[in-house]
Amino acid sequence: MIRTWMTANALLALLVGGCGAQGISQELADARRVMETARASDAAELEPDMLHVAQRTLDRAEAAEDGSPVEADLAYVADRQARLAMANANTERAMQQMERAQTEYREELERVALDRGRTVEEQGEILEAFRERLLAVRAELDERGEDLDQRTEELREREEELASRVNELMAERAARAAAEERAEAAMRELQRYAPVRQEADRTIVTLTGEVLFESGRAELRGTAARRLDAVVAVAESRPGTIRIEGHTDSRGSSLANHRLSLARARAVRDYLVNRGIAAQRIDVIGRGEDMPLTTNDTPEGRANNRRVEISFENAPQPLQQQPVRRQLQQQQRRR
Amino acid sequence: MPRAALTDAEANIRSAEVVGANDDPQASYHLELARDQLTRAEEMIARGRMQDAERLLMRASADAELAVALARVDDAREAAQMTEDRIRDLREQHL
Repeated sequence: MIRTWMTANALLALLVGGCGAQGISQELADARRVMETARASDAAELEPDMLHVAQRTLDRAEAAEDGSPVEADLAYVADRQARLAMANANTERAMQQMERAQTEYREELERVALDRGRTVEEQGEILEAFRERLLAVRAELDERGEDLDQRTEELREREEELASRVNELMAERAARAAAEERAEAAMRELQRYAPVRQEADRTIVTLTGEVLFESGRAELRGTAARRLDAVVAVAESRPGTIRIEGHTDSRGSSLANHRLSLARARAVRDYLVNRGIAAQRIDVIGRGEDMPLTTNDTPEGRANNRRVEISFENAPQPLQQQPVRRQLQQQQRRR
Repeated sequence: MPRAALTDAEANIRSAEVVGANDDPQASYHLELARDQLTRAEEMIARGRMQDAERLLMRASADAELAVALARVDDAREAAQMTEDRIRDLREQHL
């Protein structure tokens, strides 16, 4: 608690004495300077009353005898009063500044709160937009997933088809291999009974006439069955056309020989057909004596000429697999 | 016996001490002046020089009052600065 200080009048009443004429006291000189500073400061605006009191005290100091203790004391007090006025003005100025700062702080708090509200709202909008986008992406992925599933199913079906086809091909290959083996086996068996020669596009089996027929007749002997069964096996084992050519020797008339050779070829054909070989695969030709193998001047030669030739069409090889010489022969035959 | 002046000077010095005049350079300077003048006044009283004592007591009160005012300026400026610092901190946190 501050005690109020005594007024300048009260001070003057207490102070007694005087001094001789001297220069002004240091206190007065200081007080004048401080008062000038105070008048130029905020104290003039904010503490005018206190500044007025300090001025009055200074006036009394000025009125006192120069250099006297009264002057010095009054000036000292005036000095302190002026400084007090400035200090209070500074305090007031600081208080005003603090009040402004508090107001600004409250406004800043409100602005921050408002911004945070807006930020939360903006973030909410951003989140909502992101959520919608996420839903759209998810829907797109679901659709793609369905497409993918469909494609996967299609691929799976395709794979099954391919696997099935591969199995079929393998089965076909196996069957073909088995058929080739059977064909080779059948041919080997037939080769036991008759010579076999290979030509470019046909395999020719030659059966002796005496083995198949009685002399001059076209009815098959009983002994012919085993041989003709071997022919049937070969015919069953290989596709393609079958040509049966009957040949005779040169004895007798040409016309009779042609008729006999043709009848014998037909007899062999009928045997094959009866054993299940398709008739449309078989061509029959009677050559008569026109294509002898050897001379007809000897019994052996005539025996050899009396024959039935059964030729089987060879299965065409892929061009690239055929020997170059065979490819050229085929090309020459076509011309 | 300048009893009232002595009481006033002592009270003003205590007030200056309470508001923390010792913590402010300018305030502590004037508080020290006040204490010194009080001591010298007590000596004058002991020597029977009452008028000198009253003059010293007057100066002591003036210095003590100024010490209080100067201490309050420091407090007010510090309070204003603290508020401005809070504003700056708030803006920096919100950036």
